[in-house]
Amino acid sequence: MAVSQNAAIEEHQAIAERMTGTLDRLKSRGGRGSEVHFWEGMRNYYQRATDAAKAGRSVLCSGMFVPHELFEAMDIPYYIAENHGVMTFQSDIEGGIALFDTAERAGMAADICSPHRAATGLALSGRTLQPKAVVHTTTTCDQTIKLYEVLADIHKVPNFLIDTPYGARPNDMAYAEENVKELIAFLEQQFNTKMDPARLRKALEISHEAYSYWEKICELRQAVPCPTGGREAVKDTTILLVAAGRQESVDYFKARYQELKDKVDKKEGIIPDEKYRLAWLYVLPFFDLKMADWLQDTYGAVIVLDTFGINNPEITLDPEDPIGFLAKKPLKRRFTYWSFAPSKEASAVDDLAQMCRDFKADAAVLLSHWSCQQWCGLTQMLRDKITKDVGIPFLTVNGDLLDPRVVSSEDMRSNLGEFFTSVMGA
Amino acid sequence: MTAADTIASFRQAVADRYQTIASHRRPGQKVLGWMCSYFPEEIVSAAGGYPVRVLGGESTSYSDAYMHINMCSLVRAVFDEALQGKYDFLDGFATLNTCDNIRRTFDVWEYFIKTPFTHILALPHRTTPASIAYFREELGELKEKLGQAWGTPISDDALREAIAQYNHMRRLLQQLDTMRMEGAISGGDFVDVVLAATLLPKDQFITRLQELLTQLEGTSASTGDRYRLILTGSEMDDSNFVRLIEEKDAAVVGDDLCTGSKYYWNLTDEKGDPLLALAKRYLSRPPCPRMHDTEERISHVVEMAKSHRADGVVVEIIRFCKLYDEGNIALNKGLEKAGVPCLTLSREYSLTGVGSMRTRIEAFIEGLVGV
Ligand code: SF4
Ligand code: SF4
Repeated sequence: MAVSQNAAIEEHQAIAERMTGTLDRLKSRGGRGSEVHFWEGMRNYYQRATDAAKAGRSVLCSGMFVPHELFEAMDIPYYIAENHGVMTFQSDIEGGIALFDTAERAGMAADICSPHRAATGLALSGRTLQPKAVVHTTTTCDQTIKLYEVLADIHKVPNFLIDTPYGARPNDMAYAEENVKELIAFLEQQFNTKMDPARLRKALEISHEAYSYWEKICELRQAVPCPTGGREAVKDTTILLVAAGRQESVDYFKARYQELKDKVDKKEGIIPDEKYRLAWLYVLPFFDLKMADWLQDTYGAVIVLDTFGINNPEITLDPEDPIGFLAKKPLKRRFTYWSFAPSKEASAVDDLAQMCRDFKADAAVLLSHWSCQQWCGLTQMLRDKITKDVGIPFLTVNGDLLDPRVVSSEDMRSNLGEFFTSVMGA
Repeated sequence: MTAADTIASFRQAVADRYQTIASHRRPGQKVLGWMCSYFPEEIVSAAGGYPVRVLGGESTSYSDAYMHINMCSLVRAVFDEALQGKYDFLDGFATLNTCDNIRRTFDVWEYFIKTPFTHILALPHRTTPASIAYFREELGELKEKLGQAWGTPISDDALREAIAQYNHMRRLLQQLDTMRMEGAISGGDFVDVVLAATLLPKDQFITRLQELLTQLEGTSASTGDRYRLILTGSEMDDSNFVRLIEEKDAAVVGDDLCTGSKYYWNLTDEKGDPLLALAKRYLSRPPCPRMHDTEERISHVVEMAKSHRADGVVVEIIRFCKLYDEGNIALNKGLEKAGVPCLTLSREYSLTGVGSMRTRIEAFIEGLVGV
């Protein structure tokens, strides 16, 4: 085994052990059920890939919005390069910035999406597991497509792109299904295995149950006061990625749903005094997720809606139709759907404006992630629609998902603070 | 007329493009503006319409209020023209989901400009039997929608006629390409000719191009001892940029640009189902990095460098054009492996920073001396 692979395995093992530590602490303190299940899901995800690599088994490098249930069904351990990049960065910001430098030295432009530069830096430094293949999807953006091509090139392995089309009409989905069938053939060949339909069915049923709970949780976020906040919702979306088709995801969502339902029944919010309901029309900055807590504590402002953490009811996943399920899965989130396919048959701005109404938002905030042309490209339309049609204030906060050098946390917070005092009258 | 006069007339048609379009539009004829060379103009011609490529102007001062500064300056410059009302004459605007920037340009165009007919085609990222069948349906939808909107149902015969005309034009452009390779026409002039093809009515362009080919025939041509270069990269519609490269000891003898050889590289089958033939043609033309097959793009450029006896490749990338940016990592490696020297130039849509660009080009060319 190459030295760099040993280093990657050690690093992954250390992450899994840290997560076990978190889990033990939570359990000993009698932590919330959902939190325990979350960390179980996370730890198991890292441990599976690490164990497989240790045993010399092949692992897969995967994109975020790929139907991971298929890998579960085929017993293929996977890791999601972007997530791994984000998590590594979150645990060591200084070291994370060095990863950017590594990626940029290899020719990646500094304007490329920061999670992608982090993932590339990790791969170039031999800190990710050597995969047997790379699988990715066209959702959410050009940069995501290219990232996984770059990673396949670094690892010198084949890659398969699920060409999720620009729309969700029957003919779009028929094409997406063809792609899924090809993907299955690709995986069977690369991993020298056979897809077991019964196992797939089981994984999809589990996934369906998890998604059903998630949908109900998204609805509960409409309650006044809101029982949960933006930071907590990040966990919902993460578990959907790392434990797709696995029991941990159902355990997590079941517990979380019950916890939130109890709060809603008792009319309890995440904070005692909810003053403002915020529609956060993007993702929270990953390098400062605590910004959500700060908004709650300082202004009584709760993120009731974030596009990353909200499901897309337009897309229904049916385990009775396994190929259809896998084909539609990349569009199941509002975030991927609207990053990717707005104008074909519906309008992103109309839908996002309607969400602001449904979630009874008092203001909308768009984090203008420096590299993200998808979401930044919607800014002016969103501002126009939301201020005129919904009639609530709209703020753009410049920043970056990972790179604090673009706009520091202090500056982002001061931008938000000014908005609350001067526009919202806080 | 000499070849120089004809080339100057093409250059003029491009420079005065709004005037060009207004003066060539037949009374009552619908004009459709398109972006991205994957757009199948043939369908517009078959509807009796006048397809024109939408280009940007010098400024982005209006569009910067509507589009984030992190969008590529090509789309900002295009949208700026639209905001200034310069494209108000269009009866239609259409494009494809080629890249994030074009997609969002379509969104803001539809939202703020209100051109009567708008359409965005879904372009697959892969070329497979399934993707060709899918794209054929997409083309069918455009054909139906356009026919309905303009009250002119588009027949298969009309499509075949348009395909034959475009094939004819593309064959002529291929001849001109060979002449550029031999040095009969400069790379800068060549850009103006191909751009004029996207702005003039096709029949008139073909007539003028035939004249040019006759004028150039038999001219004793050679690139002499100038360094022979291939140009590739983001959308490039500024012949002055190419002239800058050619200023000193260099000739751009070939290109892999969407405003160049990609526009005419391959032909459409004139037999059988015309929509299927178009789907095949567009999905099998030399890919831009937007398409998934990275290897195919690299081998195409490497192959071109060899067949054109090129001394080097220049890659120009518009800032924030992420596709070309990220695609460039593999392209550079591929060229290096093939022993082809390569220069990457980052630029804005409109020609700025000429001084430093010139210095970099000169340094590159000097570096070729020892190769
Ligand atoms: S944040 Fe934007 S640029 Fe980055 S991966 Fe997501 S959609 Fe792409
Ligand atoms: S230059 Fe690049 S980013 Fe701009 S429109 Fe063209 S492909 Fe898209």
